[in-house]
Amino acid sequence: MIKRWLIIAPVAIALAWVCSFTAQPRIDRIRAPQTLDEALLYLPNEKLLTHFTAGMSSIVADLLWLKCVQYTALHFISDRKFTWLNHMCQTITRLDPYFVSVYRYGGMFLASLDANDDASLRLLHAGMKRNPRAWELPYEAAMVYLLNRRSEPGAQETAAAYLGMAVATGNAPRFVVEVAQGLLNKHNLVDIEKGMWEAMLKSDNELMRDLAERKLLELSARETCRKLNEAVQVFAQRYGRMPQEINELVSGEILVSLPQDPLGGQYFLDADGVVQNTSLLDTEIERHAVALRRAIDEFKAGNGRWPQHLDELVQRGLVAEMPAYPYKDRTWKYDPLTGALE
Amino acid sequence: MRVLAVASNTFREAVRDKVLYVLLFFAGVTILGSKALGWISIGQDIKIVKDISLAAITVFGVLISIFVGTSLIYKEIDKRTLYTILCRPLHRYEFVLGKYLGLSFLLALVTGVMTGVACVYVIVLGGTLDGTFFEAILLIYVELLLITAFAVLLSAVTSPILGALIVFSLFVLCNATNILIDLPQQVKGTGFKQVLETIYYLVPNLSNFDIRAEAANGRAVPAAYILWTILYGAGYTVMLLVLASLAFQDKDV
Repeated sequence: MIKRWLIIAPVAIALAWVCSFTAQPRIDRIRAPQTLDEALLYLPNEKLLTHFTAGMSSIVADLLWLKCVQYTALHFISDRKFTWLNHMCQTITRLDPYFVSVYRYGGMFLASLDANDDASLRLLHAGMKRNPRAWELPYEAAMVYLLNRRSEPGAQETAAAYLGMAVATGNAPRFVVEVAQGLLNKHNLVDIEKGMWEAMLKSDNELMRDLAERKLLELSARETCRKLNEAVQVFAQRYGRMPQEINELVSGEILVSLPQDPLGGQYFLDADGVVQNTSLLDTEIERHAVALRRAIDEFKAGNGRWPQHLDELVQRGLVAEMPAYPYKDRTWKYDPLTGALE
Repeated sequence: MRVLAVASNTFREAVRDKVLYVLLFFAGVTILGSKALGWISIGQDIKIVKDISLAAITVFGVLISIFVGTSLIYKEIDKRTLYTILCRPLHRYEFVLGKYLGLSFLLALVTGVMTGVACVYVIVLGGTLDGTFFEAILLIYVELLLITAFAVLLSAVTSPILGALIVFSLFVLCNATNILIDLPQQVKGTGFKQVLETIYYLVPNLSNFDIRAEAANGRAVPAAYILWTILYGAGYTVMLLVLASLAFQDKDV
């Protein structure tokens, strides 16, 4: 009895499988496969979708992002029409408001592939509001102005203001800082930058208000440095030599007194005779140090040891290049035994 | 002490259940397979691995809560093993509490194992873990404790299949209670709004326990939020356990 079932059962299973195997291609032929665009037609309203994901909105956002990447790639190599791209990005960011990459790449795709810079900027602005510490979003907004809207009057000034915001997050890489400074200097955009930070002082977010307050003080210190450098030039013309130290601007009767640093530091003349401010340089050191420490930790996590020297971070591609130490007469102090950086 | 004896027995019994290992196996496969989705995500693989890991911990934890929890008391009645327990000097509420605690220990173990697998995997892939990731898991565990309390209540009053269906439906609906206060303009200022708001405060809002997006994106969550949410979960859990004890107290076994 048992032996008979041993024969009948596999035969029954095999026959059943053959039935299913035969049926599947016929089902596929009758029901034509749904294209990605058709599937997107049934994408529910993002507000409703948020409520009915049973707490899985973050993972639904991930899956939709994968669909979005596929959709963009598919249309990029075919008709270059991105009808659903904006809706998908809006839905994903509604499901996961902290998904910075969607704002960033979504904004980039909308601007560069769909030429829809309005939608791109809307998405990036929404991202900046929800993720004020992400440098990538104001940076992409600046790129929209520099690339898509470059022929518009004031595009470079607006781009510079966005780059200033990217730098103000304190996380921006060096190239962004340099581009921002270049543009701000080129257009003498102190007023724009000042206006931007003053507007941010009215933010509901305490962090943004603190940041704006600090940045306005830094702006004031930078402006004072610029004026002191002008005074140095006047000194050089009057006495036919550069001042040895900054107090000579007072003793040489160029200035009545030296200005106070609003950030509590000091103004001084560096080896090249340029007026510097210790608070601004210390801020720059801190910004570079954060990026370097992160790269050092990444190196340790990947290699199980601290880097022997900081150049190893460049060799392994963890930082694009070693930032120069802001004080010209000093260098970074790094301990390869503990990974500590000063 | 008697509660702990019941809890320890429940834990040992549940640990021997093969279904638990099947669920754990699938949870592990889900977590380890998550990398495949990350390949086409433009550098978001670690975020996706974290998201899927947290979702797997939730889903498989909920499945264990529902399937083990809803049959916890019913099985004892069905197999008639309850009589040998209740004839001992043990209050019925102690029995309910012991059963609940046993399952809670099991869930702690299962959550711990899945967390361990997820952490090792994220680190092996070169990612980093911050405090929010563990806070998210803590809140998932508190959510599981609440669901388990509800499953135990239903186990005392109905059959496991019906209980499982009710708990699962409520799990989905209680994650959507925000819709009750996120109302369209037309409803605002009407009596209907008051009714919906009352319902909102009556049923547990499970979306409170969801800080998975913050955890996967490395966003800090205020400590006060975590503490209030734990208190919120504890309140509903105690309420449901009291109801379960009352339901079982008068049950004719």
